[in-house]
Amino acid sequence: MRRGQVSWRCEGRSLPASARVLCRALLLIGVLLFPAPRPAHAESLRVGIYQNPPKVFVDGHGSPRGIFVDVLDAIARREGWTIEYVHGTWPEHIGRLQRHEIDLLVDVSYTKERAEQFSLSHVPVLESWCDIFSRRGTRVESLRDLDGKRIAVLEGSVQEHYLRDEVRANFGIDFTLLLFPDYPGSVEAVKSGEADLLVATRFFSFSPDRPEGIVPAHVIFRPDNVYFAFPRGTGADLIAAIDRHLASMKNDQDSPYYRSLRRWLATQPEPMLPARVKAALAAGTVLLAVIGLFAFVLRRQVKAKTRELTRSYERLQATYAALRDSENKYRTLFEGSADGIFLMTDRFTDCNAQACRLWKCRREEIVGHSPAEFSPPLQPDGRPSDAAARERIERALAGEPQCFYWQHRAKDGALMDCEVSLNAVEISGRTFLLATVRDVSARKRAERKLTEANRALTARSMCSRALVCAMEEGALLEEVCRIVVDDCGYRMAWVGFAEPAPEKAVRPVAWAGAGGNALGTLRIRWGDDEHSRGPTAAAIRTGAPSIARDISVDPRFARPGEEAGGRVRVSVIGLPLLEGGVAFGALSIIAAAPDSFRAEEVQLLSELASDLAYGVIALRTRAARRRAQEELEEYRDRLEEMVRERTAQLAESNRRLEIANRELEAFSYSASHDLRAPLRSMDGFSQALLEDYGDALDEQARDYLGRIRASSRNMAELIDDLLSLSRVSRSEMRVEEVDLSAAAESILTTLARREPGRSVRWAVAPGATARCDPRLIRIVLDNLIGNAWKFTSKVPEARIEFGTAREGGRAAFFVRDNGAGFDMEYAGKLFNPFQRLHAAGDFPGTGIGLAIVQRIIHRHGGTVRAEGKVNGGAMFLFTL
Amino acid sequence: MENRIILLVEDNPDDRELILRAFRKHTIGNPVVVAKDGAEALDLLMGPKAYDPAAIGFVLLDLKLPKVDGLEVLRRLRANERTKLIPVVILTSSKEDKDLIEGYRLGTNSYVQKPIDFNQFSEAVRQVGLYWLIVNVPPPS
Repeated sequence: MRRGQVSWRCEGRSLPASARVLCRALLLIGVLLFPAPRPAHAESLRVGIYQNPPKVFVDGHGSPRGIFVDVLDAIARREGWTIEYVHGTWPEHIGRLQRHEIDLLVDVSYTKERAEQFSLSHVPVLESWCDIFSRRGTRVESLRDLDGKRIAVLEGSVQEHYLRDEVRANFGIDFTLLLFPDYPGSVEAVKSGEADLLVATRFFSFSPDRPEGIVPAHVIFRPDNVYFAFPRGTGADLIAAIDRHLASMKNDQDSPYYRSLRRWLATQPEPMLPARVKAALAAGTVLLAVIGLFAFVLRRQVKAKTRELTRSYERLQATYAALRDSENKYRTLFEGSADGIFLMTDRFTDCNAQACRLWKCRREEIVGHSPAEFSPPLQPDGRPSDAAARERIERALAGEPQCFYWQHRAKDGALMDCEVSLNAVEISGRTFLLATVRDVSARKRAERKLTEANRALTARSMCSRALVCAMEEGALLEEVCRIVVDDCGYRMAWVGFAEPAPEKAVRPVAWAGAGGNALGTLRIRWGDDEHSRGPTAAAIRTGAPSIARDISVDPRFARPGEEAGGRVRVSVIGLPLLEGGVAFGALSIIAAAPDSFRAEEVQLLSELASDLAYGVIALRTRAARRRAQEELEEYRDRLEEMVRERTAQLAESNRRLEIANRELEAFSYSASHDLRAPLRSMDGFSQALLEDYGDALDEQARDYLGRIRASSRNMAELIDDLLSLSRVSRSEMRVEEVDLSAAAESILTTLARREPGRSVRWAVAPGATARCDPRLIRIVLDNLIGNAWKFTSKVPEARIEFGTAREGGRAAFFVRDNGAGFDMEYAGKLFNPFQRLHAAGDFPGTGIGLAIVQRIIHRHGGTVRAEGKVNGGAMFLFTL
Repeated sequence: MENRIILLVEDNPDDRELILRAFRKHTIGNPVVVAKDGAEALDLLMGPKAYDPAAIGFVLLDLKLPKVDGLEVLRRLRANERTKLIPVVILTSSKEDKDLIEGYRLGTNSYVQKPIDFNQFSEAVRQVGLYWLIVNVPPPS
């Protein structure tokens, strides 16, 4: 309800003209008796005034009048200022103010545009609203009735802007605006029928410019406050002084401010003096005699009427005071409330100071606007705010009181959780909604924090139990997801394992809750592409928890071809599952509300994820150990079996070898004894024949006997060689450090001594040693050096060399000569037993030597090879 | 002294003949008693009608013998107090390590391999005979 509008109107109408005249006279006397003192240090203010009684106007004598003039004069008196009033039309003053030609303009309503253009005082001078005036009998009940009308308004006024910019658009109606520089012009237009209606502030009701026939429709709209305006850049001191005085006067019922209000708003408009005076004079002239006759009667009647009027005036004053008290009381309740209180239809028509504090804006920025403008586009439950608000308002208007939670958004964008109640009330026959809004953000936050911490704590403790009982990884992950969703109230939970590069896929392995089955189709990855932007991927990449507090507006969730607004409003957290600081997967949890996952909840869930990772690793280790143990047991069983088989095989082959060895031994033994005996007989008896019967035999017979004997000896040699070869294989090895150089030197010396006729130069590399069987290696060197000696027998300057070399990374030894050599084509045959590359006549020998050499070298694990060239010498190289 | 007996233990008649021929050739006139196997040799050395050990110049012992082999004969000879000092010369085809080591271990006085070449064979027999009958001083009886 606007302050006291009904009572003031009644007062203004019923006060008789005589009382008005009385008041004026008194005021005139007051002014004459107490002229304004000259200011000590004169500050001259040029003040723009125009014709808008009773707020401000110039009376018939050219003097500035009205509420603003009274207020300004009172302030000037106190401050010692000189005021020069500059008269003009409203548009002229706006121009002057812009050009700094005046210092102050009165009667300025707040608009954003003006607030930017000028400096406005802060304490309102008057509370104002707009009203529609029309010829009596014209039906105007609401703003809709402006449709199709011609409307007279003051040019450049807030009414003009409001009608043109807002009413037309918001009410879907159309009308013609006729602009006038002053009110008399507008009135004339209405009177003449050029305009249907006139739109002005409520003060026009009290204006002398308003003829009796033009009446207010009491359609109240665009309530606002009226201030003083100053040119941009005016000193703060001036504005502050005016604000200070005004505030102080508004606190004092007897101040010039209230006196002025009472004076101007309690009186009827001043009559059109010249016309009335003429009429009175004419009537006076005509009725002079009659007046003389009825003077006495009239005086008595006037006296009685005056007394009656005085009583009526006193009664009205008392009623006014009572009304003011009541109004003050309710105003205090209204303004003092800790809740925001609004009066509204589908838009706000009024609000209290707490409402302004709540939404951090001026009353003007609330009034005329809809609740949806102070709400986020979507409510936490995902419903669009405007639709939801409309539904609540309609139900409240239908008589069903509404009480509900609502998320509001203050002017600065801050969101607040509120408890809202809507109740329909009747005021002046119209239905309004009384809305109270209580900010419960703090309580909501506390409740929510508790709920969130509770669910996280429950999740952690239940998952800990699951971990202790877990036997198998997959079942554990499923159980944890199930607990998180079913027991703790999260919307969804899933676990994904990170696949290695290059795919870097996140493979879902367990999930619970809504939408889990669609996980596979999301193809989430943890690399750098558009599939890797969510918290799950980020958690795996960074090894730290990653949170999206509202995926509907989080750009990381925007996917090609998908509108962000179409997504549900949920929060998502990705928690890394770490092993040695590296994430092998992630536990992702979705909470049904945006802005979830605050510090405490994140801490608890991180601990849960850490426990889970530990559990998974422990299960894997346990499984791996079990597998390894099983494999080991299996392997051991197989090994034992193998060992048994192999042992049996070895025993068998050993037994066979033993038998073979025994047989070989027996054979060798037998060969050694028995094969030689016949040879001895052949040789012996051939010799006996030669000795005893030599004379009886001719030359040829003796030659034959000689051949028998030679063959016997040859045969004996072969047998000896065979036995040596066999002995080399059978003899036991006895390995020690052997000085090969010394052995070679000794062999050569022996050979030289045995055949002093030979001239052989030899060279033995000093210090060649090897770990080997000394007896067997002696046989090797005997053979190799013996061969070299033998095959150089036909070379004039024989040379034999023993030295060391490297062969396949191993130490090698060689015996080289410049003797007969051999054809490399047969090199492979050299080491076969009884293989000879030279005729026995050229070089003696059975061809068993190199076979023995090879067998000994092989028994030492070494190799032996030969290089040579016919008549180009030979080299035998061996390793041990 | 001059007439001490040579006990020839040899199963091969050819070898027996060649050895006797060698003795003859080198005019070694000592009586030669032949045993054709080990058992016979033991009988002659330790049997009821055994020769007086002091009468035996030396035993020429083949190793590979029927019935009781040469090394066994040697072992029993050496094991017997009465015969253990009798000089024994092993004369055999083999020069297998096994035979050499076992022969010496059992206490042979000499080991000679029979050469194939009869000249060498005959020479070896001569040297052995001269050595053990003339050069060597036998143990006291």
